[in-house]
Amino acid sequence: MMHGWQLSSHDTLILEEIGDCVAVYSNATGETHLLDALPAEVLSCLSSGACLTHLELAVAVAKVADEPWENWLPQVCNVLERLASMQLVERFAR
Amino acid sequence: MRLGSDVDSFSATWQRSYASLDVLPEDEVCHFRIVVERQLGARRWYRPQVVFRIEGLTPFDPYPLDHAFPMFEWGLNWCIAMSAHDYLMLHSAVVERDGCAVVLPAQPGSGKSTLCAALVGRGWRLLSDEFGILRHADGCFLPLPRAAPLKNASIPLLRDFAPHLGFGPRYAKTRKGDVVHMFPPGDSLQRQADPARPRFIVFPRYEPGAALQLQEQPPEVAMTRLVNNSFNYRVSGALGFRSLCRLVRECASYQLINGDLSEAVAAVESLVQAREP
Repeated sequence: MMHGWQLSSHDTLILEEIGDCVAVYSNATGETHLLDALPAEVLSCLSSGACLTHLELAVAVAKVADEPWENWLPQVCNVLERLASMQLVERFAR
Repeated sequence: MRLGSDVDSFSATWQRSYASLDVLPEDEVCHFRIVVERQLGARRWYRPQVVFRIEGLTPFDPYPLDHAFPMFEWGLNWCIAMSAHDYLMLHSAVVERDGCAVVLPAQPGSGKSTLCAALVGRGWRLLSDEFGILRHADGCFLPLPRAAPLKNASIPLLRDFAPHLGFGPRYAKTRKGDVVHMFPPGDSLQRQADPARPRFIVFPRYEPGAALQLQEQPPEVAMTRLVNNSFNYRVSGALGFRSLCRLVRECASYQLINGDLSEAVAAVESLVQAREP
């Protein structure tokens, strides 16, 4: 069974660019977060309701950055763990 | 607001402060019905007290009778903070000149009221000394011109800086120290229905003896500070989030550290003079 990632259940996010950051508002928790470009890009990939593995997310981020996806994989994994600790994303089994 | 009182000294000070306000007809719908009245009981003979009632409720302990006016002002702040959730409320002063509003968000003790009063003394319109009332629909600030409480060392400073302003009596040893109110100028009261569009956010901080520092703040830093500064950000939900995003995008933000009131006023005025039309 593969594990992937999705936005936290029942949550919708609002993303707004503010200066060099992206401000994220969680409708579920009422919390506001200021994120760097990479976590914001990861959330953007998931915000359409997509359920993606860390590999698929690394490929999506690499495409934006125009670099090999292998370069991004460790960072994407770290970011996903951080976003999970902020209750913005959660694992799912598929 | 419908206001009643049996405290003559309070009524006299209130009328001096808000003399140019229009009195609404008796049947006008009002937001708050407030009574400031003497506390009954045996204590009134040896240490008279005053109570603040809103809609028949008494949310605070009584104050000494001669502190009725500051009690009213702080009580009305409480009423607004508890109920004006159709707007985003910032803990900030707001002043305006030539259609350009400057928002001064700050924590207590940072010199916000002093700087606000000094700017008003230089001809700026007073929108608010305490509440920045941000309208979600268009991002404008609504005026709430009220008597501004100056505390302790600020009192002689402002009397010297702007002696032409109207000042109320001195209230000694309140919970916030000695307090004198700067009365809102008549033109600010007359224009209390005119909102203003914000152009600058200036976070003031008074430090005795400090050299003037005016440093631009990245919008994401301003956003973080304003989230923590707002009275009702969490209550406002996504509307409040979008309004704050708009505010920090449309305004240039600065940190103003100052140890001299004249320099601080000049720094704020230089921002507005230098802006592009």
